[in-house]
Amino acid sequence: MMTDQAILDAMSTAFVCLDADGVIVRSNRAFATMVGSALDNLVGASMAMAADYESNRAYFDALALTRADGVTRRVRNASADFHAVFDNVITRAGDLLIVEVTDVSREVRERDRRTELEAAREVVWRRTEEHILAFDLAGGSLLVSDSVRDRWPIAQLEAAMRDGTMLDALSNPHQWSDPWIDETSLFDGRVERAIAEVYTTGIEQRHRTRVPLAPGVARFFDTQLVPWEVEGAVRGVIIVAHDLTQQLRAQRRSIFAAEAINQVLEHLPVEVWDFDLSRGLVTPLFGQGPPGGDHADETVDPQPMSVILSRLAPDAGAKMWGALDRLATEDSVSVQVQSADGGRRLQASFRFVPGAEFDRRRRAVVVITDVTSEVVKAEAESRLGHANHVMRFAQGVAHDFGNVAQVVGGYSEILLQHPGPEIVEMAARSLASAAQRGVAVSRRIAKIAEVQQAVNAPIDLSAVVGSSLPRLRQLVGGRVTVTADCPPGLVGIAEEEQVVSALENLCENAAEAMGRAGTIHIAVAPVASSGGRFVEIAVADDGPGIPDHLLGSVFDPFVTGRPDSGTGLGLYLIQEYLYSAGGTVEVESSPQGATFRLRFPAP
Amino acid sequence: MSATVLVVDDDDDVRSLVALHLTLTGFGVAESDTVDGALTALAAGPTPDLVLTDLNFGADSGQRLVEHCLAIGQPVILMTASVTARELPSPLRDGVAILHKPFSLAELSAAVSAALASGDAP
Repeated sequence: MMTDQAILDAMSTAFVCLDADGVIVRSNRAFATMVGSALDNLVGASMAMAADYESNRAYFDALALTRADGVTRRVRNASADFHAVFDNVITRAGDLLIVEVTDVSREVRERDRRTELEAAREVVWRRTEEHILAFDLAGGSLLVSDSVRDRWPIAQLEAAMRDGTMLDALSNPHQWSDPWIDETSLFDGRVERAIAEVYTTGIEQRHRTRVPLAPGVARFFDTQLVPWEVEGAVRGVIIVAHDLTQQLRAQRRSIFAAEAINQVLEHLPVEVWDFDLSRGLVTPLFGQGPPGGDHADETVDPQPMSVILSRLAPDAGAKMWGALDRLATEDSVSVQVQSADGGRRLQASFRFVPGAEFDRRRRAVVVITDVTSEVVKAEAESRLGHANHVMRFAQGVAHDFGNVAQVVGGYSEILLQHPGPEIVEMAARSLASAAQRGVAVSRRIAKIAEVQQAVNAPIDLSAVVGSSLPRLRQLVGGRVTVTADCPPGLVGIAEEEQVVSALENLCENAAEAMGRAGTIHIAVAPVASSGGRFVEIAVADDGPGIPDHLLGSVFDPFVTGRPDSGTGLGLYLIQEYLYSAGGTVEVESSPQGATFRLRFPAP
Repeated sequence: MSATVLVVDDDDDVRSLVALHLTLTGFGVAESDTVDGALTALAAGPTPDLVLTDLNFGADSGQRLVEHCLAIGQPVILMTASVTARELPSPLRDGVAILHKPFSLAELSAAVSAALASGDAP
């Protein structure tokens, strides 16, 4: 069949003409446009195309059959990569085959997508927790949708609906093997009335239903009975049963967990209070809370601070309020207090809650921890430390007086054996020196008692340092410069005489360490630490520092690094004094010098 | 030739007393007020017949000196004001003659004689 090429090209339908060997003899523009790169795969110069033949086998068979009997055939084939799908109408025209080709790729894909969607929806339905039943009461039939569709014996149900045994069946689950039906005994009889009610009133109903499965095991459903209206009349009832079992179990588990945590917390010596600083009210968050109440399940109203204080020793109030005052400038403050009966040591830690400023209230959290056992242990350690201290002190005293006795006794013996004038003079000098040492040691020992008896009161430490400077400068000599940085009005709890004595001792040591030439700097400053607020007097020299092997024991009695070997009691006395005054003393040393930090409690 | 004793003590009065007594009883005496000084003297020689040393040198300890003496076979006596033997560093509890301060000069002489005699024995 000979067709004018222009006419062929003008046609919107794609045509191709093949000769007896399967070689294309003519095609139109629509065909070329449509087939495009698939052309080679589809037909090609030699129809053989062995590699792709299998995939297009039906097509080639159709070509062969059409050629043989002249009957028009329809066949679908696809390009080798399946990007294109074609419908072909093959007609014989003499020696030629005319193939009308239509690209159906889009339609095929659309249909595939729909199938996939169906399948996906099915999967979703199967996974949903909801079961939907529709009862067409008026029509006497049951409509079922969703996941249960393929599990329910619909014909049986419909029959049941029609002969009126449906509701009996629902309330008698043993007739049904389906486990879900078992559970929907649900409706443990009430469903009957509920359906009837919804049907007659047209008002939706909701129920929470517990379906016992075994002793202690149950499933839970939220059921919703919705009137099914057609043209304004209630035609049936749709029941949507939402399975809550998993959700409720999870909820229950978290409640159990919370209860368990609470039980644990109740046995811990910890309680936490929310503190409204602007109103002075406390609310227990967890722990013991106010005496005599179980507050697990009720909201507790804020209560005055006295609720806490009533359980504490009388002096706790001042400490706690002092701590609260300090929260104005510090983020956290801890104080140690005793219980009212004195039997327990409690630590109250106040921590400011910054975010709470939004509601214009200043809020803090108070954590009260029973630290009795820690305190008892610390006290035992402290007693042990004190015992060691006493032992070292005794050893030191024994050593010093031993030497005095050695000299006195030895020279007495020599004098008796060698009473010559030369010996007498030498012996007399040594005996006088020994006597002086004995006096010095006994004075120092007496000082220990003095230190313990010091009367500590709030004094202006800046002023004490300032007024001591002339005396200190005289003490250290002209080649040592003493500078001081003492901002006015830093008040600490101390006794002036002890502070001056400590300054003299530290400056004398520093001057000695620097070889009587250098700079001593005294700085007074407020400091805060976990132990509370202090005023610090730091005495720093620019000498060679303290040798490492001495650093750990400089405060021990009878330790001295001074070649003139004072008594080795100076730093020990400073430490004793500061401890008795509720302060601390620390030393830092580097090759650039040593710094002693005396910290006196702030009032 | 009389025996020589190196007396090591940082307490001037005690050292002078011991040195004076030993001189008066016929010994040759050298003195040092530090452990390092004594070690230097021992290294430089001449070697004394006996070292008599204090234990407590403030920051330093005579233990170094005693251990050095034991190592080189140098007779040594330790003078200490420590009240009990328990306070002594364990290496010094055995094998070292100890004079507890305060000691009488007779005790000092006896200890020195004993130490020199045992030092001569081998």
